[in-house]
Amino acid sequence: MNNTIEETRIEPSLRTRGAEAGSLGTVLYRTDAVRMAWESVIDRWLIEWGRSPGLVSQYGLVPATPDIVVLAVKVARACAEVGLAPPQRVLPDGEGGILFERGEGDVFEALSILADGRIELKSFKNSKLVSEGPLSLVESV
Amino acid sequence: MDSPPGSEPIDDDEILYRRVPAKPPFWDPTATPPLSPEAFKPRVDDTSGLSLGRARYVTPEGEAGKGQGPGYHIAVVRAGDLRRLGLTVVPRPLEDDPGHAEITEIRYDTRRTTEEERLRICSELKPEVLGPFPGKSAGKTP
Repeated sequence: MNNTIEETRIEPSLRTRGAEAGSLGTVLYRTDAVRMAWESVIDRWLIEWGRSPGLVSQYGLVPATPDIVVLAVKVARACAEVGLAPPQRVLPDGEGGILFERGEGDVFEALSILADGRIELKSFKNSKLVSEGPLSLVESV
Repeated sequence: MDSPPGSEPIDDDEILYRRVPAKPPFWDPTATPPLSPEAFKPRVDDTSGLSLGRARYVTPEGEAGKGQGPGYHIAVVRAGDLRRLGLTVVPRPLEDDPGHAEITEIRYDTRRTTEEERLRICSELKPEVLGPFPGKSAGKTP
């Protein structure tokens, strides 16, 4: 697992339209509180699921593979480094992926780490999809 | 010949239950919305519609007890509210579950095109969430 945050960064290839300040898809600001919130996501959910996929599969849901958990951790750390707002909820998508969800007012966003390794961000306003697109995790060689 | 139990039409005022895994946190009262749209995501066996339980046939505890996991919340929705969102709610009784019902538009093959509908259920209807109640594997180590 890569502990050097500087070596990975996330570059949104799509700027969300209509995204409110503080949403997943917009930069918040780099603070210790934001980093700690993302680290809490990693410690509380991702590491646990990586160690015990049965916690997910016992519900008949397909758990994420260790590689996807590792990718989700990288995404979380990259999001923390950029200063993106932390998710309010972390869930398995039931198909081997992991989902970060955040809502504020009439805006809802879901950042998906899919089972095939793709990363997607979807934004909804008043429950209508307003934008969706891939995100790229760029790792320095 | 009498209709089999569970085949009678679902009135608008009828209460329906959706079984939601207690962990991971599909339901979090501090999140927006408190109930994740993932709670209404169809699974691979939801081929004809998203499964619900009719309250006239099952208690919240009984609906949770049908799930294979250790514990479940129960989301409570009213048939008429789902129909107001443009969704179709029909009885689909099973041999061992006469209270089984379905939302026909939300199926495994439409799971990627019904995200807005699932979000509307959670954001606009704001289902009451009960429990958690034990499922089939309560007390067992995963």
